[in-house]
Amino acid sequence: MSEYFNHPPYELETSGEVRADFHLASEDLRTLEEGRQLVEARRQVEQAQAKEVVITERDVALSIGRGLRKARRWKAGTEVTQKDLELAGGE
Amino acid sequence: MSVFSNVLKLITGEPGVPSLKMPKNRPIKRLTERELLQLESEIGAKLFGDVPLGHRREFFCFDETTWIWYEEWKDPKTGKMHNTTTRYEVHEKGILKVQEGARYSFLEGEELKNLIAAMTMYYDQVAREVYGFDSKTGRPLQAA
Repeated sequence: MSEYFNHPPYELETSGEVRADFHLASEDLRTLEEGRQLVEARRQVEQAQAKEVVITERDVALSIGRGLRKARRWKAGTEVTQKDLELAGGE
Repeated sequence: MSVFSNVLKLITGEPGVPSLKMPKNRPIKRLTERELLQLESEIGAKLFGDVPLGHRREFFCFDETTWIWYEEWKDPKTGKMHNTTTRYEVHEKGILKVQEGARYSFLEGEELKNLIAAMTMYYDQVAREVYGFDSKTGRPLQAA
């Protein structure tokens, strides 16, 4: 390997070994490009998945709690409704 | 003159019919939030089947993020009263179970699923029986 650096560039180009390295490098570049495309595709999938709403048990519990609080306050008359606001002249 | 008027005349001896109209501005008795919570608790206590003889159970949603399980019973041998309170708190990370003696644990597995099922049943029944709406649609129940 170290002897490559002892040859002038043109010799390197005509050297089978060096050409082989060049081919390898070309393949590597193609692989890199494919890799980039894969990474981009994965990123897009992850982005799409992140937008999906995942409902956990905790979310269900919180939703029920909020629903009950709202119902309780509405029934007890402690909740200001849209109608109350309309009657009061508000929006 | 109607039959009703005649009956009134016979009872009261008055020729005229007294006004039986209710005042329009009669205040409607509303239940307080505490009274509603008590009604909810009665439904919550029955969600898990019959309460054993000598036991008293309460299960209710205290506020948006807190649920309470209370159980009280009398020891048949000693006659001494016992009680236990478990609090379920909805946190960012999950549902925390808080018991006496500084015992804390985030619920998981079957216990978590069972609690969620109980909460869902509670909401369903309380919505229908206390607040008169369908928990699935959020719409008022049709008058029978």
